[in-house]
Order: sequence, then C-alpha cells, then structure tokens
Amino acid sequence: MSEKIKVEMNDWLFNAGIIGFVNILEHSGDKVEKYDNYIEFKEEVLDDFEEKYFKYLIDTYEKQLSWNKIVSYRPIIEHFKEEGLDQFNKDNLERLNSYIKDVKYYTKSASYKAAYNLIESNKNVIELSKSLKTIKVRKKDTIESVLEKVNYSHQILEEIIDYMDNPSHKKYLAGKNVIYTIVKNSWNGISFLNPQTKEKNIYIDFKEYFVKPTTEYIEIDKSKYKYNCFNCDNQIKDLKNHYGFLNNIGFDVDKKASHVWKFNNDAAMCPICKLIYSCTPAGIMYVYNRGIFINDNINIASLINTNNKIKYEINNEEKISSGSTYKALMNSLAQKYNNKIKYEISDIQVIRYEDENYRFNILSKQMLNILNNTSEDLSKLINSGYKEINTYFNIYELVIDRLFNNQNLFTLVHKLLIFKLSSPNNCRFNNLHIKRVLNINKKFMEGMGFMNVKEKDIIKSASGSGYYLREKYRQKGAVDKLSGISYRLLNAIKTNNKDMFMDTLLNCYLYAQKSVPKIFLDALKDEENFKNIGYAFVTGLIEGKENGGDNNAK
Amino acid sequence: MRFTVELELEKDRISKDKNRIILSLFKKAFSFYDKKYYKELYESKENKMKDFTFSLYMGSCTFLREEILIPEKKISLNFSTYNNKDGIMFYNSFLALKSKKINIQNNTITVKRINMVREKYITSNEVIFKTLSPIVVREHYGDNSKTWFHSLKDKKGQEVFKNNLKYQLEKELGKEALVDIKNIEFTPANTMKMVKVKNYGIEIHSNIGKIKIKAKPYILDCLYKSGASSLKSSGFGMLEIV
Repeated sequence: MSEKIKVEMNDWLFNAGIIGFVNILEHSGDKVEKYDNYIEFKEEVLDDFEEKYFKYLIDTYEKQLSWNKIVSYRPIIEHFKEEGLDQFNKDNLERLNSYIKDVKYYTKSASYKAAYNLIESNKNVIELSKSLKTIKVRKKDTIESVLEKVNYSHQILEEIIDYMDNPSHKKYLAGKNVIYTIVKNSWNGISFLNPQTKEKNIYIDFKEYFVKPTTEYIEIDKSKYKYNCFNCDNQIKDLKNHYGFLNNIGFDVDKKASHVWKFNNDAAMCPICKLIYSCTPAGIMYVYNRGIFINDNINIASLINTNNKIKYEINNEEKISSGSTYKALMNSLAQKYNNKIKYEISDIQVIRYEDENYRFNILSKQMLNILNNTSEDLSKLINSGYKEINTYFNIYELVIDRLFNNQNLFTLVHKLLIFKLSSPNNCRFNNLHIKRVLNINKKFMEGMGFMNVKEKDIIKSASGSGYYLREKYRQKGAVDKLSGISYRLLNAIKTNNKDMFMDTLLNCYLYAQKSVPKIFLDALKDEENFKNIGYAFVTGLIEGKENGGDNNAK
Repeated sequence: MRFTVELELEKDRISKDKNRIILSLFKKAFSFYDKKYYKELYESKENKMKDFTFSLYMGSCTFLREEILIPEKKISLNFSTYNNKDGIMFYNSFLALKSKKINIQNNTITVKRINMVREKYITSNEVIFKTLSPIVVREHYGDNSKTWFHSLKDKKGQEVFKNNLKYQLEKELGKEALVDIKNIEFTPANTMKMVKVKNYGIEIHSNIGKIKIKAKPYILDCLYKSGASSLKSSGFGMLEIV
C-alpha cells in the first residue's frame, strides 16, 4: 500500500516537528514532497525510521556530544605516534591529564554503562579506563621521566577511542548522548526517556513507541473511531496519546486535569502527529541547553531554509558556546534580510528555549531594520562581557535579549558604567563597547520612533566632550575627582534629574574654566536625548580609567 | 542655576541707570558668543519674557545725584535662571568675555571670576524671601502712558502683584499650573519699603524688604530661580531665601 501521507503546517512546535521530520528523512536520502503549507510522504520512508532519526541527530549535534569529546583526541595521539614523544611538553601533559579525567568520568557514567550493555563486544571499557591514571611529574623530575607512562596511557586511550569510534558502537554511545543532551530539551518521560522503560535498546524502544503505532494507524480502518486528533483532526480511537510528554507545552492529564474544561481532557493526538512531535529536536536547533527556532511559516520551503541556515551557522562555528544561538540567529537573519525582499521576513515568530522555558518574540519589520542597521555595532560586542557574583554575562546576549523584548538599553549602560567605575577587574569590555551599546540604543530608539532621527552624531560628540574634560582634569592633576563626579552624574541620569546633572556638569566646567559644549543644550530637550547624551558623556569621562589605575599600581 | 560674576570697573563712578549698563553687557556677551541665541532673546519677539533675573551688589557705594560712587571699583553681578539652557548660555557667554575689556558708557568693565552658587531646595509650602533686587509691581496695559507702579503695602498694589505673578508663572510653568497659581498667598513684611530706581531714564517705584509667599514648592522654586513680577530680566525681582 503506497498511499501518501499528508501533514499540514500548524502551530510553531508542530512546524518544528515537520522540519525535523523532513530533515531526518532527507538526511538519509528519502524523498518528501513539499508543498506550500503541507508535506507528503510515502509510508515506506518510515521503514527503519529509528535509525534515520538517531543518525540525523548524531550527525547534526556531533560537536556537542561527550562522545565527541572522547573521540576528538585521536589526532593528537596519532601525531605523537608518528613523531615520537620527543616534542611532548608540559602543556601537552596538562592537556592529556585533563583529557584522562574526562574519559574516566564519562566512561563510568550511567548513560555509557547502559550503552555498553547494548553493544556486543567483549572489551571492558570500564576496566580499561580504571587502569588510566593522571600523570604527575614530581618537582625534581623532568618530563622525560614520565614519557613511558604517557606512552602507556596513549595506548589505552587509543583502545578506548577505537571502541567508541566503531560505527556499531557509536550508534549506541552517541545515541545515548543525543538523548540526554538534545532530545531531553524537547520532550521527556516516554519511550527511551521513560526511566522505567522495559526496552533497554533505544532504537527498538523508539520504533515500538513511535513508528510502529504510526504504521499500524495508517493501515487501519478509522471510520468507526469517535475521537479526533487535537492537532490534525484525523479520527482516533481513544485519548491516550495526550500532550504530556512535550516539555512546557503539554500537561499530565492524570495528575492535573484542571487545565481542561470540566476536567474532561479532549486534547489527544494521532500517532502520526506524535511521531512528528517526536522530531522537534531535529527541527529546533539546540546548543547545549539553549534552543532556537524561527517560525518563518510563509511556506514549508522558507521554514526549512531559515532554520537550516541557523543550523549551518552554528555548526560552522569553531567554538560552540551557549551564545552561539544568538549569533547564528543574527547572521541568518542578516543574510535573509539582504537576500530577500524585506517584507517577506517581517513579523515572524522567533522561539528561544532558555532556562528550560520557551520565550516568544515577534520580529517586526522595524526591529529587523534596526537589527540590520546595528549589525556592525552588534558584531563588535560578541566577545565582551562582565562578571557578576561568579557568573559571566555576555553583553551581546544582553543587548539582543533587550532589543527582542523592545526594551531600551539605558539600564544596561548604567550597569556597565557603574561596573567600570566600581569593579574594573570584573569588566571584560572597554568604553568603546559601551559607546557601541549606546549607538545601538540610539538607533533602536530612532527606529522605534521614540526619538527623532538626528543628523549629528550625539553619542560621538557627547563622549568626546567627556574625554576632553577628562584631559583638562588630568592637566590640573585632579583626575581622581572624576570618579565621584561620575557617580553623581550617573545618579542624576538614572533619576532623570536634569537640574542635578546640569549643576554637576557646570561645576566641572567651572573648575576646568571651559565653556560647556552646545551638545548639552540638546540634552535639555527631552528625556531620551538627555539619557543618551548623559551616558555618552560619562562614558567619555571615564575613558582610559584602567590605564590610570595601572599607573598607580606600578 | 545661580552664578555670581565679579566685574571690575576702570573708573569708580557709574550712572545711576545701572541696569541699563548691565543689560548692555548681557547683550554684548550673548551676541559675542552666540548670535542666534541673542536674537532669540532680544530680537525675535518684542518684549519677550525671559526666565532669568539678576541683581547687583556694589559694596560700600554712595548714591550721588546722578551717579553711584563705588570706591572698590567692583560690582558683583548675581544671575539666576529657572531654565538650564539660559544658565549654560550665560556661563559660556561670560566665560568667553572673561578678562576682556568692554567699553560701556565712558567706563570699562572687565569680567573677572565666575562662580556658581549652590541653590537651596524648597520643600515647604511657605518661604520667606528677601529681595536682592527690588520687586516691581506694575500695572501695565501695553500703553506706557497709563502704566502705574504700585507699592506692595497697599491693597491695590497687592492685587496687581498677584496679577503680575499669575501672568509670569503661567508662561513659565504652563496652563496646568493655573490652579496652583491661583492659590498663591503672600504677606509683605512691615519693614518693606518703597524705593525709586532709575531705569531707562524714568524713575520706577519698587519694593525692597522681606516677603512671605505661600504656594506649592515648585511654584516657589520657580519664583526663587527666575525672579518675581515685572521687569525681572532687566534687573528687578531677584529673590533669596532667608
């Protein structure tokens, strides 16, 4: 029977499922027919779907897996095998030791142990890794004295890597990895993610739970079923397939029925939809525990296109970090913006998965415009950040986060300036970065219509004024006064107290016997100008503060 | 914003019509620093009301028949404004004139030091003011021949003063302050006295002394900073909190 199965676009999560489904099948060379708002596929493509499912996930997320962490050490071992250990130095040893620690940790973790049971091999990896020990060089000894131990560790490691890298082993080891690092972000509690599952083999488990019911359902006569799928309206037999397994979206019908009318749950789906939903990890792009999905649902093709660009951006990055999702998003948006007619991507929904929650934003045409205009400033912020109570914050992420939520950046700028003044050691940014943030903010406010577009660059001239005043203070040998003044100015700006700001400012200029730059007359006009100019001025005023600090230290 | 500017004179006598000299200095300073601002203040509109006021302190001076004798050859010019822009412009303009010799009325004035004066915060509804320059209570209907200057002590004068304040504050604070402006109450001290001041050739009756004003703090703040009643931008009605 080769009747085609049709799946239509729906809400964003289902769309993510469709994309995942298409990605999985196309990755294995199967054909899916894509139409404007639906896809069609033959039942045959579901043969061995579990293999395709894991193959796609493993291949896509390979870089993020702990399995990859183990295997990626192979080139180094091979290098020393060829060249001999003559060049082996302390750095290499340090790296080797930390690698050994990782290997020992991973190889005895529960998920790996579960995978060993599925693999038909008489090698005992746990024993092997137990025989591994980190290598210490005593103070008296040189590195040559441990080379033999290094050699021995290399041999064992190579054995472990061989074991891990074997395709029939990788299937299970990396498969387990994928489940816990990626799939768990989307759904949980059923099939191989059910802690009490009877079937230990993840492949068979997936097949039995998702694929088999689907094929059975397709063939069976459904005319007498009295319920309808909540998603696609196909007839279904009972309401057993509820939404409970989808993180943050569904709820457990048995435990809490109050979500539905009169406590009678009617939200259940057909096996086909369930299979599609199970593919969401392949549709949403995850980086560790963050995910991103753009619901560009004008048609299937553009949906796939946009999201695969994100995938491409992330996988092409040299070092994947949790901030990668943002960067990839920005890049793919910028590309689309430049390539296509602009209205096509306006008002699309962007879904981000962070801190185990979904966050939704609509990117308006204005916002895309702003993002595009500020891309140069934004890209310069990627590596800047600050540390607050042992947590590192990336300014780039903070900025984009605020822009997406239509918030201005004044509080962020204020925070950065206060940080720069009070604890410069925790700042991984300089004044140029703050100026960039201010620039972005100005463009944002202009773009959103909060501020009139100005021809002159108020940020530049205001921060320039600050800089020159500082120079004057330096000449008078009174630079130390500036921190106190900056605090007072910042307070005035934050509380919108123009009088206090101007008072302090005039006092400074009186002290320096300089005339007050005309830019401050603009600042008096309205709040937005006042804040922008005020913050820019303070930024200029504390410019080069760290240099002063260093000099004192010397 | 309040400033005190030290002015140095070359000769120890100035005309009794002193406000005229200072205004001339103002105009010179503003037009020297920023022509556009000068025109905005003095040329764009006739009799434009300004947000600032000033007063003079001449030390141990003696009033002669036509002139004022200042042995120290120094005048302190007090300037106060409600508007930050005027404050900045004043500061910048006078800074630009600093230590330049300016010829006015067969005397030469040099701007010496410019100081900023810390302003007091007004938080209560009642403040006693002292006049730094005399308050003018003017009944004026656009026709100079009918203009009359009143004393703050008689009833008519108080009524006119209230109208003067109303007119001034409505322009400075906007219509939304009207209700609060209506509720202003004031009592001039018994020691208040009438003085005659020469201004542009005519003798003006004006009042010096203490006055208690009752109003919302923001209104008092405005009066404190921009001066009270008529002719304030030509050297009348500057107040200080006692």
